[in-house]
Amino acid sequence: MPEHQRGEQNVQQQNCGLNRPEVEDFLYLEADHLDQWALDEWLGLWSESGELSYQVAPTGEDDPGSLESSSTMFLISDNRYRLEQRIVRMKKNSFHAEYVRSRTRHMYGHVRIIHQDARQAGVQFNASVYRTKGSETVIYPSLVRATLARTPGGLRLVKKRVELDLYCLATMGALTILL
Amino acid sequence: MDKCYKSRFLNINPAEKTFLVHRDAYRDPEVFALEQKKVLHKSWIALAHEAEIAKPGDFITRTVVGKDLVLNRDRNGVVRGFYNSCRHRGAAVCRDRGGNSKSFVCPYHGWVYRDDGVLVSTGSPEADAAFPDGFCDGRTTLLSVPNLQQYAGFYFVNFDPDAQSLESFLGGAADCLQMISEHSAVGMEVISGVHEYEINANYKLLCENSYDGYHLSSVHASYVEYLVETMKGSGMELKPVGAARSFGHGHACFEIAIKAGRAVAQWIPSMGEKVREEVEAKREEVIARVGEERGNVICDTHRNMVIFPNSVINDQQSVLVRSIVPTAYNRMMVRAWTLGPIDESDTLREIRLDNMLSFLGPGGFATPDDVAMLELCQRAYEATDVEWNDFSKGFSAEEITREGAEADLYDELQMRAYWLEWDRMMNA
Ligand code: FES
Ligand SMILES: [Fe+2]
Repeated sequence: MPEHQRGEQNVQQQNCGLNRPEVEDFLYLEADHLDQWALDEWLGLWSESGELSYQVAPTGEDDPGSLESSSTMFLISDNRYRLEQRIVRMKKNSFHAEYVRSRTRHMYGHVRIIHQDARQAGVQFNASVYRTKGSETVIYPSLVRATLARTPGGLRLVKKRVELDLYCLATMGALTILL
Repeated sequence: MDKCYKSRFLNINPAEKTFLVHRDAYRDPEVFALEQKKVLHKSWIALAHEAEIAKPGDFITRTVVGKDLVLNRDRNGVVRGFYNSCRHRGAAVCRDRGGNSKSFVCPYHGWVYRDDGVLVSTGSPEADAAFPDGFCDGRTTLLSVPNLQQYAGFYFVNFDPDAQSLESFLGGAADCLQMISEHSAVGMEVISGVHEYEINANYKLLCENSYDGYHLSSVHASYVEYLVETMKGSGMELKPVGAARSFGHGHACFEIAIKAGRAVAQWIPSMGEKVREEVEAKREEVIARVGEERGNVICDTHRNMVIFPNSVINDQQSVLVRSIVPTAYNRMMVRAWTLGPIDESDTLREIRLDNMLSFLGPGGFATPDDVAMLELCQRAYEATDVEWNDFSKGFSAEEITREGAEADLYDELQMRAYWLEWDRMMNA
């Protein structure tokens, strides 16, 4: 079973006391940072300790949940270093792909806590991200699997993995927004 | 060529050292219709790698230059290419992206084709009885593509019944494919996961961009800064050196030695000390097998190659094949897939994918900026009256007649080679 799904089978012994409204509040803030292009604030929502992972699985796969970035070519698979570098790049004037920035609207729904232990929780939700560039708007529908950790500073992202329902990246083929 | 040359699309002046291409080549729907016939359907188009149809019964479906195809290996091991259309009323006989099957059953009226394309049933014995005798005895088959050939494991199709052989078409480009097959003693495999994305630009713009050395420092400034950042404190330097090379028939590449790291086989600090030994052992294995000189070329240089007219094969952080499907004069679908050695360790495979993703693909640090440039160009072709594009950088008339011409990495020899061949075919 892929590592990101493993927790679903765990018998809960202890948990970190997360409930859905708390998770939703956190996710809405996360979505809001993205829609505002508040990239540093968004990065600030990620856990500072340990390894983190931000991934977008490839399109056109029957079972994207079964894929691992170590053996499959993902669209994006960032560890901490590369995610930080991605943000650095996204803020530069030479980030030509978003020279005129896309407007985005991240809509999250069907939020569920899948499992939790003393430190962190695995959550799953549906997302549809609207992206407008010039006169065109596209929608990115997806299932998102995330891991949230309770830290002294509040809830933090440890993992965010986006599994798009798209057959391919059609209109606006370059994925230069954060999903 | 000493004299000036002028056609509808090219304007070459050797004395002035200028080489111009008319923008109608990118913006005129009628030109696009014409080039489908005269160029795209008369050239060899990269389709797949043999690893995708390794076992009897394996099949894949693909669309190339506007044609829906099925490629399979039949029960006797013969590789076949068919049009994906039932001979009855036309429905696609295969709706999956790939799989393994001994037959193809048309979903409409149930005609059954064996894996060698022969019709064996029209749905039921009753239906068979209503057709002429022998109808299902080899008389009716799926239509095969006119030409299907492979070189170094890469399968190509050509829709021209009078096509020259693939090998003679490839000319000097063949060795670049050969070199890829030499990454491993036991062969290459296609890694799972495909990047499929559309670009609002003429497909030739992506070909030009794929081996354009000149744009690296401007468009990819932010990627180069990232690479420099990853090397900080290692004592290593980026220092790209290389050349552009044309192979005849419009094929060309640029070859560049740059410390960007390769699973086969160049270690860089960002891969981590832990794998250093393994990468260096792989390098020794390659050198022991193919010799020192060739081994060093394989391990240290990146080759971005365009096989005329629309197949891009990048041998860099990984081997990335971009099959470009031109869908309109101002639109293309890109299907990018990657290859690695069958015997690659899990660690190296992970490094390969990680290293490549940082640069290439619609979510990488480089490709999206290229896409943005192509779309800016296309838009201007259609929305301004400017007529000519300039390809004069480093132009000398003698390169046109010289076999295997070489030029500075930052020149535009590659693209001139492409346009000369394209113009020749359009005027044929
Ligand atoms: S169209 Fe295929 S069986 Fe009729
Ligand atoms: Fe580029």
